Amino acid sequence: MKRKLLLLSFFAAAATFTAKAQDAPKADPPLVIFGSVDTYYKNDFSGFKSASGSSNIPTSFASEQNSISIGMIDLGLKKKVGKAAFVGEMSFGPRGQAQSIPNGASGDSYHIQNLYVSYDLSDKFTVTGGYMATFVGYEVISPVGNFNYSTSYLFTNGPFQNAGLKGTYTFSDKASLMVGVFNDSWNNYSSTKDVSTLGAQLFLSPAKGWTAYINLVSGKTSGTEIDLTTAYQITDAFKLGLNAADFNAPNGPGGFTGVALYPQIAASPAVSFGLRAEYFKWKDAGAGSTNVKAFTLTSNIKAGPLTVIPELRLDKAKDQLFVNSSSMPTKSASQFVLAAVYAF
Amino acid sequence: MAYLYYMKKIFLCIACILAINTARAQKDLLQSDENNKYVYYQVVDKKDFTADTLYNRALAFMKSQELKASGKESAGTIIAKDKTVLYTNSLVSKKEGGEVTYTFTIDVKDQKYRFKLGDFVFKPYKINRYGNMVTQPGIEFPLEKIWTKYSEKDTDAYLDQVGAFCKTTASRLIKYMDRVPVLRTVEPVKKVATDKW
Repeated sequence: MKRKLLLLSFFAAAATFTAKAQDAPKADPPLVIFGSVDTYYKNDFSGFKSASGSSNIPTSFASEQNSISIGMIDLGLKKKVGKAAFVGEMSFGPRGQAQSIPNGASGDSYHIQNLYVSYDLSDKFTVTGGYMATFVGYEVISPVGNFNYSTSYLFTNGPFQNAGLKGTYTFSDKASLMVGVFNDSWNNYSSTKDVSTLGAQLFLSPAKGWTAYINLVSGKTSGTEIDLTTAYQITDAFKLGLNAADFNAPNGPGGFTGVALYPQIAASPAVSFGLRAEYFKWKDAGAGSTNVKAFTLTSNIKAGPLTVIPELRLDKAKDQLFVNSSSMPTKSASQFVLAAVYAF
Repeated sequence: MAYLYYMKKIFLCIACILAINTARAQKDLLQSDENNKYVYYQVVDKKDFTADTLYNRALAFMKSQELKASGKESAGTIIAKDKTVLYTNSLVSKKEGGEVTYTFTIDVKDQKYRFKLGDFVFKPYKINRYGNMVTQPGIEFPLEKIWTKYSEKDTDAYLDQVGAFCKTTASRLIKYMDRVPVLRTVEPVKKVATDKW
């Protein structure tokens, strides 16, 4: 009897929801669970392995030498009801914790990638507040968002995340403007002193398939970065991306400037190839300035939600920034990475 | 207790059969027009209704569904463009896989109307840095070509959803066009003479 009642209640509830959904012009999207896992093997051709297990190339992630290593498991939840939405995304693993996420005051790590709420004040204006992936730059922490598995110098040296409050006004599908105030320091869950960093992003789409973001993040504590991130899907198979940035460190000289080009071609729906060609220069902070040119050739081989990423990378510096197989200083370094990323 | 076991089996079988039938029916609802493009097309007779009445009802329906007329319509024709989100199914939850833009056309004449959902263009989604699924600029293709980009299972799942969406939209329109407007009547207020005791 109890089972029958339960079944009846279930059908009644289902019927109610169905009826409601059919009457409403647009139903709210369901609660979505999303995320990814990633793992990799890396070999620096010099064979050099530091005490911490890393090797020559100092950019973020894919750092452990001659090791089958883990990136992270990334888990997110999101929901929108009417005009109000939230995203909560957390990660576990080196990529999502020690290598990118700041620790709390007592050494604890919350592993948060995104934690924000937003509200559509109108069809064109949205307000968002919380801890968010940065709006600056071409590359991101999540391996699902990048074509290359290793990351650029521009990414590594720029902000990863910003906590703040921002408003985005969409003029049309070709232009929008975001302006916000953010905590005084990047990559921190809370401010060091105050909420004094200004952030702005102008989005333009000059042609179909072409997007351009002009970004500014500026504050007394964190410095000032101006960034251009643009991508153009020129044909169904060919895409060209570009990232250029200039950063001035706070309270004195120092910073960086750089540019990276990202041509990518799809050989089939499952296989694509991409090159990242980057020039990166550290500004003179008193100890001289140096620069590095980095070339990364990557393939993405897709099998449903799984992407296998073989990658070859060659970095050549102006000065002896790396070490060779004899542990002697050298100007160049090269590595091979084989990564697997599963997105759900 | 044994009957509970058999009940469960029967219930599961019925659920499976229903699910298969529903899936098949949704996908098959899409038709192919003279240009080999997917459409959902229907002509509906409405005896005793003038073209004007049908036009006004169709226009009111568009408004009720938050569909904006494109402004390109001629006499007796309403055209709107909109999109619907398609989901990928997994065991634990469903996630936005892409969106389909479409053109919704309603033509009216005295005593009948017809409607068509067509020009379906699929735009696949990709997750962005904020955890939101968004279109990839420049990546889109007609729904007829979806099988060239996705597996048979995924293609069928997307076409089923488009078919189901068309069916729901069509039934909403037909229901709306059939609706008899309720005339608001004012109840007479009871009169009372206040100058008399």
